[in-house]
Amino acid sequence: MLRYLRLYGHFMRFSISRALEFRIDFFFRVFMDLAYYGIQIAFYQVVFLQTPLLGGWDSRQTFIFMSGFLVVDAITMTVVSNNLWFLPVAVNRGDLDYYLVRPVSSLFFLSLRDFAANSFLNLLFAIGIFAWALSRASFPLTFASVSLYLAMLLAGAFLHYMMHLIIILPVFWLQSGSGLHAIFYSMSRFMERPDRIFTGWVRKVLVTVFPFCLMASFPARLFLEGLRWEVLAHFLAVTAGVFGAILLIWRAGLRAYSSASS
Amino acid sequence: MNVALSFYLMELKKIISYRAEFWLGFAGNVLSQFGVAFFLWKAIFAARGGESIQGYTFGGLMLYYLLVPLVERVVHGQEMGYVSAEIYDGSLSRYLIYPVSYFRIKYLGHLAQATVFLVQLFLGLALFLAVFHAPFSLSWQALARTLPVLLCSGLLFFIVTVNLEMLAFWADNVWSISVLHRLASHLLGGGLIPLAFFPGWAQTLLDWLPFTRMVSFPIRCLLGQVGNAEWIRGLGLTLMWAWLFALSGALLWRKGLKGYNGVGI
Repeated sequence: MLRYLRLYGHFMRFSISRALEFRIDFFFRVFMDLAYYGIQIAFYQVVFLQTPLLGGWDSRQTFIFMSGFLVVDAITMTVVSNNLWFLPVAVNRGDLDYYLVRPVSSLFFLSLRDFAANSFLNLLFAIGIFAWALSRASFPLTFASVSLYLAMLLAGAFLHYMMHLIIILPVFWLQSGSGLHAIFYSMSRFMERPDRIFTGWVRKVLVTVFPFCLMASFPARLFLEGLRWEVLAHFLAVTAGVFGAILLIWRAGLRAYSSASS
Repeated sequence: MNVALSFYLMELKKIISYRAEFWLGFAGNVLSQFGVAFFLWKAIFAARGGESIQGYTFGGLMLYYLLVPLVERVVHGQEMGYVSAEIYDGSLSRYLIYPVSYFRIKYLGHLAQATVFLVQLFLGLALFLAVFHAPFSLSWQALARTLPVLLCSGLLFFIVTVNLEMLAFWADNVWSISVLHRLASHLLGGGLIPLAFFPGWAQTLLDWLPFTRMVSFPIRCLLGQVGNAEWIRGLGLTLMWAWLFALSGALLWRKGLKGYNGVGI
């Protein structure tokens, strides 16, 4: 465990020094993510000009949810997104060999090698928006409830990472991964809205098979509506299921991997 | 003319050779945007009650949201990075000795993509009308107004994109600026929420900015919501912005080429 932490420390150092070599790009990227945050805030401001409630939540509650998904998004952008973006390229070009021969977990190496320093700055902004949204809460905050919410958002970020990975893993059997990334980013849109607006079979799919509604909505529900064990159990069961599926598909993918480049 | 046609046809062939990825991207993007909007507005109509909001019925709003990704694809044309990549790797040099303007070649690529996306737009529209029986019929007059608007909006988007991509002569990466441009045109052009839902002062301001011309204006033309005077004014504003950005683009190109060495990164 300590060895992995030390290794991650090296990853962070290299990534930060590399990011600072391209300073203009670094700040452009920070600004781009800030614009994305601004767009989300503006979107909900305009929506609440038209309705008093959305999925059962008022504007203050919805902003708490929204700030939560910005934190989830910022965590994944900082820690794993760059790595997952290049995973299909590594498989396609045969560059995966480089990771497989290392004396550490190949999934660890592939998922965490690049730490996005610019997104870390955005994570701080997202945390600021999160604190602002919490400060407007119309109910008393306790240390326990805020800690649970943060822990659930971390779990939501882990689920977000796993869903991205599971959607791009078919690249072992396909030729190109860019279509797979497009599917993931298209589906991520469902994470950005409160889960209760979705109904019928679409909702069932979004809380089980493609659990995008679990990543930010369920943590917000537990925070805003009190701890409900069945909601927590559902969240943990789906997360465990997706994790198990990833291990199976990853091993099958490595068996199908030929090292040949195209 | 023959050279231009050859470039155009070559670009079309390139698009068609990656069919699975092309249709996967199309279906994923359109269905997710439409799906999220469907449930969001269903919840808003349920919470608020009433038949319409800001003049939009639920059916009308769904048609608008179906048209947003379809029209954006036609206006956006090709993916980002087609100019900056060539500046970074030095492959821009080979175009400089071609007997055809570099930007004409790039615009033909844009037009080829837009042509295919236009077919998708009409397929999507036909499917929507067949499934939902929406209170909307495509008139020849609306179609005749929309096609030149799409052409001019696409030209404006292309010129703005090329301006931003040419910053690659100086900046080490311009991908994030292009993403920012797309995000801005999506929100401020009425792609995320129709402009009628914005406060009055914002609608007045946005009407003068170029973003509206890239999303909301072509959609409203297609839906037959634009009269003669507004159509002429809208088209005029689109061409005025295109001309302004073409001027700044010409300046950037001249300055950029002076510092360009063709070595590549």
